[in-house]
Amino acid sequence: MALVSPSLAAEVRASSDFDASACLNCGTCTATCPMGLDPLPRRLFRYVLLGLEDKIRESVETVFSCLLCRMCEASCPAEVPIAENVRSLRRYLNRAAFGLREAFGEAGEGFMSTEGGRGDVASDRPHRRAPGGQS
Amino acid sequence: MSLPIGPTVGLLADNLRFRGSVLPIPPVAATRWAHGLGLPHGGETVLYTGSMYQLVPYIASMGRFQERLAGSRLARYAGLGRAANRVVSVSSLIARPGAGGGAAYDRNLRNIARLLGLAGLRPGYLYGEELYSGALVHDLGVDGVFAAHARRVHDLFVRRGVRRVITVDPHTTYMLAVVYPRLVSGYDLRVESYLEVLAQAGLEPRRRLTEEVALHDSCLYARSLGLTGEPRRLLGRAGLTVREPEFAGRFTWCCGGPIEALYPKKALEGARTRVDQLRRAAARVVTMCPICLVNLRRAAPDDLAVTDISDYLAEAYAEKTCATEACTREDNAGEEQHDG
Repeated sequence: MALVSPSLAAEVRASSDFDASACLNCGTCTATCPMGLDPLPRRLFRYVLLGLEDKIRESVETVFSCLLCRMCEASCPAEVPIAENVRSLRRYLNRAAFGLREAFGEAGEGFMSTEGGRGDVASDRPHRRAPGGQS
Repeated sequence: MSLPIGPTVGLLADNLRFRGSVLPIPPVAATRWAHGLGLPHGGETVLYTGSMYQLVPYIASMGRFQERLAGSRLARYAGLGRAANRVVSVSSLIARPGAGGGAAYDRNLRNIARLLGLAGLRPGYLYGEELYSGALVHDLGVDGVFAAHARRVHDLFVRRGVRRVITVDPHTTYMLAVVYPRLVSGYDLRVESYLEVLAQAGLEPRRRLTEEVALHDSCLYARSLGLTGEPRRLLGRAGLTVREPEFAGRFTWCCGGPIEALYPKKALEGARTRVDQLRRAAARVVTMCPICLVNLRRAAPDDLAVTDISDYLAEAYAEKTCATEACTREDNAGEEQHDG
């Protein structure tokens, strides 16, 4: 039997950088992962959505073995931000499992929630161009 | 077997918070590459190393220690090590490259500065003020520490009047171009990789190279920054034949380096897999990230040369050779053995 923590999903999703709602559970991330992670990203995210805190705590090695290489994201048909989701789980585990209070910002939240939420490469492109649109 | 995750993550975060880098290195080791180049101190445009190449010999030294620690009883005292590290820099005592360690990586940075000069740029450098980007602490999910550090780096740019940053590695580029803008108010910097700058400059090679090389794309450059064409254009124009390995470009295969700090053995297994893919393409491998460089070298057999792209570019476009730099491209492949 698994214990359900109603606060888990809310806590992990407190910042806008965790989003697994689009996951189709298709297994493409499984097939493409260079590390052959187990439990695989889709299952980890399901644990969060269901509030299965014990399962997340048991998955420390998987969460921290992820390369954040985004190979899975490059193939994901639902464009789930898998690497950022895994990073959110690391942040959660750093505090919940290892007692690292500094995992979160001073206000207690992930930093993404403080400055406009998760961005993507396209939206960040202006920072790679010259002022005035040159280059 | 892995290292104890909590204390290891905590130690790395403590180092960033209190010492400005995940692995503190002596200031002279961070800046000696620039000696004699006459780079101005600061300015609107700076070459920003983020200490990544300078960290490579220290990372290699730390990695060897971690491999031994991961399989020993000492690992259970990692929490104590973290506590002690807050008072005395334990990691500085552990990560100590041997005499001469880092000379080849200094050359990589000197190559880049010279190439930018040929492209008509004379960027400044922040010397001892320069800070590591915090990339590893970001990736490990210690956001409180990382966010404070990012603001510290940004404050430095503002204080020094920097408007344009030319980076030398994918991790620093990703942090400065993609992550920092999300969390630092008023962030207004133009961030480019030196590979983009050189590709746009239209440099003509002074010496034509004729070898076949397998190109290892960095995950961050290829998938997060869309930088895949520039290195191919630069190498191709230099005369090199670029052989694509299985998994290339946007679908490149990771070198294993990102988990080196926690799972050194898994990182090495990942690097071996990638090395097998690369050696099937060519007997010489070109990297464009210092983390990829150190990890693939560790896994590469003796007959596979793994070389930073800046060495090839300097040889082709700046005619910098072994004679002028007192070593060969391949010589730095042996540096790992001298570090410990």
